[in-house]
Order: sequence, then structure tokens, then C-alpha cells
Amino acid sequence: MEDQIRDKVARAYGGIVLEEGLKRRAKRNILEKEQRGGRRKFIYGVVAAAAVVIFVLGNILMIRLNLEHERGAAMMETTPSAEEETTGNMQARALEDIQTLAELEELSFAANSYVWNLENNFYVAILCYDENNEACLPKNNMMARIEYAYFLFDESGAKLKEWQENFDIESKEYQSIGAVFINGDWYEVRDSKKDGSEHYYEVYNVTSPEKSSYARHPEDEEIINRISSSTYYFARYAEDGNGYMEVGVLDNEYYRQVSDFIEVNNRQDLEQLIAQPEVYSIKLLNDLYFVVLPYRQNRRCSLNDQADTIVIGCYKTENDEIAGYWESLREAENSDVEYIGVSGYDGDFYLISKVKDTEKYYISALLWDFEESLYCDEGICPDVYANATFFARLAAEDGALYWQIGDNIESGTDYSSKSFCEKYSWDEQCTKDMTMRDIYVAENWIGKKVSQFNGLERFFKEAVQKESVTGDLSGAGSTGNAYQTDYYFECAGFRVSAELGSDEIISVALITEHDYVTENVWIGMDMEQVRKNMGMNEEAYFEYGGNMFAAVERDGLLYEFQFQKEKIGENLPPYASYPAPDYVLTYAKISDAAKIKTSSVKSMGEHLFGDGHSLEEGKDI
Amino acid sequence: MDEKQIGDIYERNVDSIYRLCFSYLKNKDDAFDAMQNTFFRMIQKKKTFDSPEHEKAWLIVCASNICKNVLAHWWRKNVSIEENDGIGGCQEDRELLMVLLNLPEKYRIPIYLHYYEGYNSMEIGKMMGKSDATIRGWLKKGRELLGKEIG
Repeated sequence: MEDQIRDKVARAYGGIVLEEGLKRRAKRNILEKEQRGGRRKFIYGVVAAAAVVIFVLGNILMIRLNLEHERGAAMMETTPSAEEETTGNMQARALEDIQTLAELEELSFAANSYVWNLENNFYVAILCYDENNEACLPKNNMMARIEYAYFLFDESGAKLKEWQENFDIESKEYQSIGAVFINGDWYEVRDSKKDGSEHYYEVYNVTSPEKSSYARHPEDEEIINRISSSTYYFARYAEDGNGYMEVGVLDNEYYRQVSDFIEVNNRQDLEQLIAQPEVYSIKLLNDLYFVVLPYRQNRRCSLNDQADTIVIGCYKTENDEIAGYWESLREAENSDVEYIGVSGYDGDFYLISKVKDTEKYYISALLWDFEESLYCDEGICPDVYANATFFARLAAEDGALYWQIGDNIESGTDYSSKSFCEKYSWDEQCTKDMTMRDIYVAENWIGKKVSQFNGLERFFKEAVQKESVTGDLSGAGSTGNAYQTDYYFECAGFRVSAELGSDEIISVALITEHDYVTENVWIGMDMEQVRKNMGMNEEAYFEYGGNMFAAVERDGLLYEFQFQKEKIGENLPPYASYPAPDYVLTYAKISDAAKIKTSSVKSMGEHLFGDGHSLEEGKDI
Repeated sequence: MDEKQIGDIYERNVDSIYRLCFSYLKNKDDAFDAMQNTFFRMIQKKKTFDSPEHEKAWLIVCASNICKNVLAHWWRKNVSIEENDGIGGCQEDRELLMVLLNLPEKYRIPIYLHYYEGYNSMEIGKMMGKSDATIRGWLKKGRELLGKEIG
């Protein structure tokens, strides 16, 4: 299938051919441009020098020539704007001068403009300016200022003068803070310029005004309006680079009056909150916490109770105080959607929703990447993309360890819901009747009782006896995160670490102190050969299909661990950082070493993926 | 960079960059302009490269950004693929190309970079500013959509 697609795609795209004549013409244009650039600078340099000489002579001889205009022109030509060279003209026309559709079209070609056809003959035009009020290119982050106007034209393309809405900056009742382009819409943040409790920010959606909303700064005490998730997203861009949200998102007075929303006044309150059941939290930086709370009809509830509102809170702590916070409300978008589960993974929260009376699920990344949200169908989501790994972790059952699906695209493996169950030998619970609620309850294996992982407990305790426990492994990350470890064993330069509580495994992680991964890869080699190359009798690791496998043989049992290489924190805003290792344990298994001792590396990978079986619950090893 | 170097870089990459621009813009005129602008920008920025691979990757990213800027102008969104004659090949290939060009951009571009240009998901992720997992997911979805058409 893979080869078939490759061949057909190659043939299809092979039909896109640039004619030789055009190819030569383009090459000529490009080379001429390179030559012109050199000549132009030389010529303009001469002109500028001549202008200076004339000016000096003119002053010396008391000749008053009008050189302001020429000098300005020469200087402009000497230092052409780099942006103009490559991106076309900047807008040189005021919005109020646009009278016809044709003029609006011409404006759309300006490098700092966006023109939208909102509906029929109704348009909006947006022009971008920098902090010096100079026309500038739209940027990916927040713009200093935008000007915009709406236009309505008649059938002939002439502007209807009885309707137009232009914005005079001076007469605005609000102060524009800036604007940003997100997900196909322009948002302008406006400061109300009111004082005290009446102060607020308006996040005005220029291209879809119905999406506009309001917000209050976290330092303000009163709350006035609920803000939409899109405003939260905007608020992220509004931050001042110090890693702190400036424009907050707050719930409305109605909820405050009738609900039991949690008050957090200090660190002690926060820690008590996080310790409560049905509170989902993750600590991203040492002093920044994200907390997710489910509500149903304004009362705290469990997600098992089908929450209809999710409150996402961010708390910034300083010593024992709460230095700042913001909240976001996430309501079920309509009565047909119910919230099923929330789980923290990879520095984000994922909210799973279900469309009632269907098997359609929606996974929404709450914090960092709205583009990663997706839908999935057919029960256990064989069509899930982007976050397939995370979803599979939700699918772990008691006694089983979480798994990955859809990991290696190139393998061509097809994970339909039925084959997924059969492939991994799940019991009769693995049917289409399994609801996401059950899956959520199973959650992931971290936090499960140690008695369900007898083999691993024994293994790690053996490691403790042989190795000294430092408790703070270099590369394990700073304090306060889930990867602080108590026990570890070393495997070919890697440390597999586990944090064991009194009756549960708290976390397991692979910690790399050196980048062995890229230096030592034995793909396609026999496991025995791998061991020989390593010079070890018992331990080995290898990479296959983008994952790292570590295997340790002890007392006739083979302990196998699979780690997925995850650059946690990649593609996140620059102010977010995660003290986490490069690898996350995704699979562990104990089996009879004799049965797979001579397997090749490749078949080992297939064995783990294709014939994996989870630990039998309660098995005493 | 002298003229010969520029010419060599152009010869090595013009076809790939043109195809990529066509994948974005779906008509030969806009693709031609965007392709030219990509090399203009390379000259303007006086870009130097460590290797042919670096050079191609940079040009691809640059071309992608230029194409996205072009697409931001709504006037250009209304061009129909069938209106242009910049496509060769047999009927079957043309039909498949129509299917490819009608895929959503986030599937279409990784499909092109992976199956035609031979980049892996990690490399594509770096070029598109997405994680490896995201690209693999998009490739998977794009392949499924394509598979239904290919049969």
C-alpha cells in the first residue's frame, strides 16, 4: 500500500512541470536581480556622494538649493526596504479613500493588508502598522496596531455611502493595545480606559465580530463577563514575555453566585485543592500550576458525572502567595456534547468529549495547541491522528500498561478498532461497547497499585539493593516534577527510573545523561548480536521504528521497556519549559526470556507491537 | 554568492520549488511567481548553505511562507484548479493530482514532501514547525483519504 501510494503520488506530481522557456526566463530574472542589486547600490552610492558634495559646496558658496527633497530621495533609494524588495508595495492609501471594489482589490495586494469578503458585497480591510505607526508586514505574533474598515458595495462595485464604518483612532472610546491573527480571524485588544471596577479589556474579533468577548486583568477584583476560549488563546499572545498571562479569562457573576467554585488565596489553599479527588493538575514550571476542575450545573462533580463545564485555572505562586491567576471556562458547546475525561499529558491537558448517542469523540488540547484537537470515531479511535499516542494511553485497562497506536506510519500498520483489540489480546471488555467513561477510569498505569505490577516492583527493588540511590539524577529535571525518582537501574548508559510510593508506582521514566540514542543504533541486528556488541551479557538497548527499547534479563525473566522519544516542550511558546527527560516510558512487559532470547531486533519490535500481551493481573512473579 | 552559484542552486531546486508552490497555490502563474520570489529572497538575504540538503530545506520553508502569504489574499482563493493547464501526464495521473491538490493543506504538503521529495516526518516537522508526531498523524490521515481515492 505504501509503495503503491508512493508510486502514484510520484507520477501525479511528476505532471507538474515548469516549461523550459519559463524556467530559463525565471533564471534570467533571478540573475538579473542579483546584478541589479549590485549596480543599483553602486549607482545610488555615486548619486548620494554627489549630492553630499553639491550640498557642501552649495553651503560653502552660499548657494541655497532645495536639496532636502533630493537627499531624501537618494537616501531612500540607497537603502531600499528589504521588505519592499521581496514582498511588494506597502499600503499607500488610506482606507477612507477606497470608493470602489476595484480599489479595494488593488489594496489587497499591498504587503501589509488583509482583505476579506465576509459575505456577498460586504468586505473588511485590515492594514497593519508597527509601534512607529509605519506600515509593516503582518507578523505571526502580536501586531502593534491595525486599522480596519468595513465596506459595502452595490452591484456595480461602488461603495454604498449610506453605510460605511471607518475608525478614527483619535475618537475611539477605547485604546487599542494591539492585534493578532489567529486561526483565520483578526483580534484587536481594546482597553476600555475606564477606571476601577469598570475597567475591562475587549477582545474584538474584526473578521467575526460575534466571537468578540471581554476580559479582566487578573489583578482586578471584580468579574464582569465570561470569555470564550478564543480569547484565552489571544491572551496567550498578549503576554509580555515574562511567562505570565496579562489578559485574564474569568467566569461570570452567575456562576459565582450559585456555584461552589474554589477560592484559592494562598499556596496552602492551592495544595489542598490539588490534593482533592477529581481535581486534575499539572505543574509546568516550578511556580506555575494548571488546574482543571469539572462542574455540573455549577456544582463540583466528577467527570464521571458528565460535567458540563470545565474550569481551567492557572496559578502563579511566589513563596506562599498566589501572585496571579486566570481562569477559563469551557462549556459543552451544545447539549449534545458531554465531557468524558481530562488527562494531563506532555505538558498539556486533553479534554475528551463525546457526542451523545454516538461513538464520536472529540479530543481537545486545552492549553497549548488548539490545532491538535481532533475528532475520532468508531470506539477506540483508529482514525485518531496527531495525538494517537495519548489516546491509547487513555485506553489502558487495569492490569494492563498503556500502549501506543499509530506510532510508525511507515510500517503501514492498520489499527482498526477490532484489530486493535484482537492484536493486543484484550478481554471481552475490549468491544465497541466500551465507553470512554470506562477508559477514562482506567486512565494510565501511573498510580496503580504495586500489587498489579509485582514483577516490576521486584525488579526495581533489586536494583535498589545493587545501586546506590541518589534520589536526584542529573537530567531528571528540577524538583517538584513527576520525574523525580527514587529507584533506578542502569542499562547501557541509560537509567530507567521509578518512583515508588508506599503502595503504588508513581512514575517511571527513562533518563538519558548522554545522547546515546543517535550514536548507537542497531536496527536490524540480532538481539544476541546487540548484546555482544555491547559487551554485556544481560542488558541491551536498541532503537527500532523511532522508539527506544531497553531489555534486561534477570533470573530467567526478560524485562522489556519501550520508550518513546518525546521532545516535551517542543513547539510550545518560548516561555514554557519542562524539566522532563527526553524519553517517556510507554510500555513494560515481563516474559519468559527463553522464548524470545534469539529473536532478531526487527522481530523483537514486531513481537512487541504485534504480539504483545499485557501483564496478567495479580500474577505473582 | 556569485552568479554561477546562484545559477547552480536554481538548477538544482527549481523543479522541486515550483512543484511545491503549485501544491500550495494550484495554478501555474501564481506558482511561477512564488517560485521566482523564493529565489529572489534567497539572493536578497545573501543566504549561504552548508550543504545541498540544507539549501533545499531552506528553499522549501521559504517557498512555503511565500505561498502562505499569497493565499492570505482572498482574491487568489477563488482560482479553480481546472482553469489552468499547467499539468501534464496521462488522464489517470491528472485525476489523482486533482485529488491530491484538493486535500486540505495540512495533509497535502506533508504528502508531497514525504512521498515525492522523500523527507521523513521529523524533517517535515522541522520545516513546517510541527512536531514529528503531528506530521505522522497528518501523513496517516492524508494517506487514508488518498487510499479511498486510489482504491
